[in-house]
Amino acid sequence: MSNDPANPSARKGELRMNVEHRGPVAVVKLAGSAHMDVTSKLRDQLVGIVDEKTSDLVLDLADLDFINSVGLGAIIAAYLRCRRRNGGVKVVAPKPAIQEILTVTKLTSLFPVHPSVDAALASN
Amino acid sequence: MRSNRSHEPQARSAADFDSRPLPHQVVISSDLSAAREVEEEILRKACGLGYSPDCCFAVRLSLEEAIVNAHKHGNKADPNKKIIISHQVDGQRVVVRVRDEGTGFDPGELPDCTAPDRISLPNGRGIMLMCAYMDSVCYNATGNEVQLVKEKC
Repeated sequence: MSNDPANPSARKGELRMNVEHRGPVAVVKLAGSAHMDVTSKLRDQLVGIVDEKTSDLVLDLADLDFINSVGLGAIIAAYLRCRRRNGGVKVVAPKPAIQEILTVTKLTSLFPVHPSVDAALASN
Repeated sequence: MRSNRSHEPQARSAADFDSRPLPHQVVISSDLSAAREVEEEILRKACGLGYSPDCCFAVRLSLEEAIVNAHKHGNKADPNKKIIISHQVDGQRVVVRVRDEGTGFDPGELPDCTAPDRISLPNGRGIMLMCAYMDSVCYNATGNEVQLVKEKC
């Protein structure tokens, strides 16, 4: 899993992650595909970001093409860590296929969906 | 976006499981990287036969869920155990079976992962997603092999 979504040498479809801290909030951009062979690592990385220094996570999914239930579990694990600190997880601009997975699993009840990172940061 | 997919766990009974051999069978170690290669082969065939992107997404998602369950729950992530993936992809449908070397389970006993008291649990959504995205999901009598069917769309 690459840490740079703009890395042109990254394998097509590989999951890429970029983390930017905006005040107390970590904005995490996921791009590519969260396939079964990388989702365990995704959990460790997301939980690690929360444990490091934040209670609120904004997940920018605009360029995420695929995620499975283990990937959803990774986001939930980060959400539970955030909740311990009275924070939470917000999701930004998922593609229709990803939005449908969130809807089918009813995870939109845990993760509010926003149209942009700025809108997510501005929301309470 | 409104979803018209069902979220109810609806895996069919063992009576619906078709045990006739499928034309392609791959036996791999219980390893997710090796399983990805088989997944890509099945998806290449479906895409080559003109299955829609939505249909290929559904097959990929369900296949990943089945393989992860076989690896994690069936084989307990033991790399010395095997996953057997059989498939048939033609102009009408995709049929895939994924078998592990575990003792099996009863898919009828699964709790509703969308219930308020379970919604924040990190696990337990795999079978529900398979049922939501496939036309048919059923297990053999032992519960260690799942059959997925997706009609071409």
